[in-house]
Amino acid sequence: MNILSEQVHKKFLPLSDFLPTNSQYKLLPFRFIRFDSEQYLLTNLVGEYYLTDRTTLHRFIQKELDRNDPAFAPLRARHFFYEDGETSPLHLLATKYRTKQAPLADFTGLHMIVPTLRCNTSCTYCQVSHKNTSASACDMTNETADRAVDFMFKSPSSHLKLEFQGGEPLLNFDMVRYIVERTREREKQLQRPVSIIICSNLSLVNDEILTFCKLHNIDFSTSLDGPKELHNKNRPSVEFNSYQRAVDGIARVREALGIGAISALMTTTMASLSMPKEIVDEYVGQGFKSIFLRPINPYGFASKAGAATHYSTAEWLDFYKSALDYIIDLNFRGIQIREEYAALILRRILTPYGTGFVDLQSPAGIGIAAILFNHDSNVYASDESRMLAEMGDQHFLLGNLKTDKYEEIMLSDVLIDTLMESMSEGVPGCSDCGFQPYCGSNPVLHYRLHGDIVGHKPTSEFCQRHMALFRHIISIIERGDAASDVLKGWVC
Amino acid sequence: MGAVDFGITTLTDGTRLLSIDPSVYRISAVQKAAYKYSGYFHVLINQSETEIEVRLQPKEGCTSPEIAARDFANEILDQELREVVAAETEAVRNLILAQAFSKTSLINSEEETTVI
Amino acid sequence: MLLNDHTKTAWNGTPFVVRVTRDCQRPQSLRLKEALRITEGTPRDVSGFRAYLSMPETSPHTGLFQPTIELPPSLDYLDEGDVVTVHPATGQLQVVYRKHSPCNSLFVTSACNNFCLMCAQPPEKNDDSIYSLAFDAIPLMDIDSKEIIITGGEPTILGGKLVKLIQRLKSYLPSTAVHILSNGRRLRYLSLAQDLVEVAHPDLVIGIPLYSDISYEHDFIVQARGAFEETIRGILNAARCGLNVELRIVVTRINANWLPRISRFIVRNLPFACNVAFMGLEPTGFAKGNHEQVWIDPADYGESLYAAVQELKYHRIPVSVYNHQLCTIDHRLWDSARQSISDWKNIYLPVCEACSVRHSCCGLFASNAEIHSRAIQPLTLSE
Repeated sequence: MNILSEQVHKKFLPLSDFLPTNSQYKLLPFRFIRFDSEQYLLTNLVGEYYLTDRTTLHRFIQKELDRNDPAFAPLRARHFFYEDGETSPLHLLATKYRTKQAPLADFTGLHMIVPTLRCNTSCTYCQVSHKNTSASACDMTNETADRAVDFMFKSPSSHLKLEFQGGEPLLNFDMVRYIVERTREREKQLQRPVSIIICSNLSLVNDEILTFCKLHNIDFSTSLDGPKELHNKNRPSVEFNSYQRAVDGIARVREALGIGAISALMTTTMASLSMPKEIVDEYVGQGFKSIFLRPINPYGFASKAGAATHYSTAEWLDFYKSALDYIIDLNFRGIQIREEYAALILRRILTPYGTGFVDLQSPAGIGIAAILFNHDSNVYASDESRMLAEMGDQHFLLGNLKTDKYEEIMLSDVLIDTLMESMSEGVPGCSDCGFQPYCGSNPVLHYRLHGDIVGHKPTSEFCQRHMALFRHIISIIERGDAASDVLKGWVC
Repeated sequence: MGAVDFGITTLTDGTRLLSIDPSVYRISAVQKAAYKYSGYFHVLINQSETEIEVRLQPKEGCTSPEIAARDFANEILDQELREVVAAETEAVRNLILAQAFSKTSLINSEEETTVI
Repeated sequence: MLLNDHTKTAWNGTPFVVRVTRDCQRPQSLRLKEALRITEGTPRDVSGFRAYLSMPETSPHTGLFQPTIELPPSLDYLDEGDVVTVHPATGQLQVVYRKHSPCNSLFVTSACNNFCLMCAQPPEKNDDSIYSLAFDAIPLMDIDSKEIIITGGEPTILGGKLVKLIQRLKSYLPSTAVHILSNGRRLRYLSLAQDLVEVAHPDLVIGIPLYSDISYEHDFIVQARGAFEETIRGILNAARCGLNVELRIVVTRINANWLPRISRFIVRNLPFACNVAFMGLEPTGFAKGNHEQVWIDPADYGESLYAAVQELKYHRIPVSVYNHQLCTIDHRLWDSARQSISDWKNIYLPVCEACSVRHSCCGLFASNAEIHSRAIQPLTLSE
């Protein structure tokens, strides 16, 4: 072989010898949207982005950019265009696209199960009708529970997660126990791990329950809306001090099961809007390293109470930005706390990986990422679908565990049609939106607010909220300053 | 007729009227732009051979209709460009997606060439 | 310390490889592949060794032992367990393995399909015996060896012969890590990647250089059109087959400011890399001839290097900094700095005597004696 004899006598060639001979480049699929008064945001097939002015964008599309343009190298490296002789951009984009979509292939992971609708608290935003603690007609039967566990293990997912919802699941701890024991047994037989979590207000936590949870490796998720007054205002109970029980419960769970065994989330109400700093301080004070700033959903009690509980998107965004600023500031001071909504969006924007987040993905997470087994054996496409049903609308009822098979439920028209018709890749406004790679569809929310699963995006609060969040977070990253570093530290 | 500014006529009832040249902008671009601004305006589109007429009637919540109308004009051009990009990249997009969902490895094998 | 030199002894014969020993009572069965270091005290009736190594002062005895090779003083360090190749016709002696070195480089070919502007080991006239000598050397190496680097030239040019070599390493040195240094271009042939995987070596990494996120910039640095394209396809094939891929970026004047965007490209496109190494330039070989074009003082790209390393850290991609003296890099990068310069190549400058972190520092290349950073200075513990 004689590569050598030519080479040793070869001269070194200049850069110009390696440039593509044909100077006209070829566009790769991308979307764009006006970002602010000066800039446009371009995003490629997998969400890599570039910010530039309108003139450069237009010149880029008209193939007028040349190698000396500052935009040329970044657009090339980020796969917005390719040149003669290149096939690697296509291979890489295909690989990256598959990587981003990978969570879809794992299929339904989250299985929510409602052992009882009974509850001992009347949260103002409660999304299921309040039943008093003695109505046992709201309890799940053993038969339903067995079928639910069977159904769950039919999912091919390698990340099965069983989540107890309610009402207050601990009001029917016998059923929780029943379901957990069957699940762990099946898990061993099939060698398929399941993570189990109880969503609870912690008011009823006791040693017996904690011992059981320790034995069966069960985690907790609870609500902590903020400092005592706020929490009790949002989540009042006639029987006890809701905040005190929550805080005591957190301590007991940590003591018995470890610090990592409990997480908390908050819901923003009108009363929360003026207290972003206090809410974050409460989380820091309770030793949490993570907080999820969630807006309210327009279901159940929340919508019944009407205007009193309803704030505008702009108001929520102000609240969010104040809280986020404060959180970043705490991080500067060495206090580690991460905001989860931002972290999720950052992973979408900055990493090549897909993120399964039921409420912000396309196709939507209903059924194919998460599913819910109600106490009455009805199967719903999501928690919100169940809430809609409690309000009298069974639109997103997928079937019933007693009468329908797995395939009938998972291939039901309502599920498939909803997924297909609401995909952001295919609907007006979304399909060519610059933020599409980061966003998702929420057919149940749009059905509730606009009367159809696609919704009217120009007036959709879901759209407005997310566009504002994307702009805000990208702006911080682009500053390249210490705040930007804090956010970048949250991607993994 | 009302005042004309930037090619946008403002009628007495506040409706903005735009006359768009169909040889420059395709109707689908106009429609998409109209959809995007249907939060600010009630929109009516009429098309003839020589012009596309767009009527934008400001909705109650629309606080600055002049600015919104001009932004709408910009948006038509942006939508037109989106269609240019979509048309030009359709084939390569299908190729990429086909490879993304293909089971076989397309980076090959014995020959130096690959499937693309 | 030299790894190769010449002996005055020469005769007509084919190159061969031997393990060095001082033990004149070696079991006969081992002697065929060994070279005995003879001294004044070596019994006159010793026989059966493949060769005998003498120093000039032991010459009077040499007539007894055939063949006796007179070691140049530079190779006097050769000791028990070291492995040497002997080229009788030219008198060349090449130390291919040192038992006490944690990491040995095995040279398997001098052919290469790139022609990097800064190549420290420029391609030479090809010699097939290089491969066969490497192949023969493997069984002579100590089974407790920690790591063997397979280098050249471009090892994948050997195709199936490389696969055989890796198989041999797995057989004879089953717990030794193997690190192949390759430009990855030949891995665009899926079958080569698959064949390497099928060896099922327990600890194999392929180290592949990437010098830019833009194809023609990379091609320019390696002086081969289409190299980037092929390398990327090779990397993807390797990953797809389950081979561990390390990405290596040699920092030159040409790409010193591109480091953050190279990191960004890796994060988005090649996140499966088991490690990313930023490497200081070794000013030898082509790097010496192209000095003006490629040499850059690390003190002049500190920000770029820091940003590039940080980008990878955010994404939890393992990152190392090789061949950068601790005084020349931001102290926040010290946790990524490695003792990367082989013991036989590494030197310290006189000023380093007073440095309190000398023992954690990789030191300099021998070739850095004349060309090195202006920032080299001893550090005290408080810094």
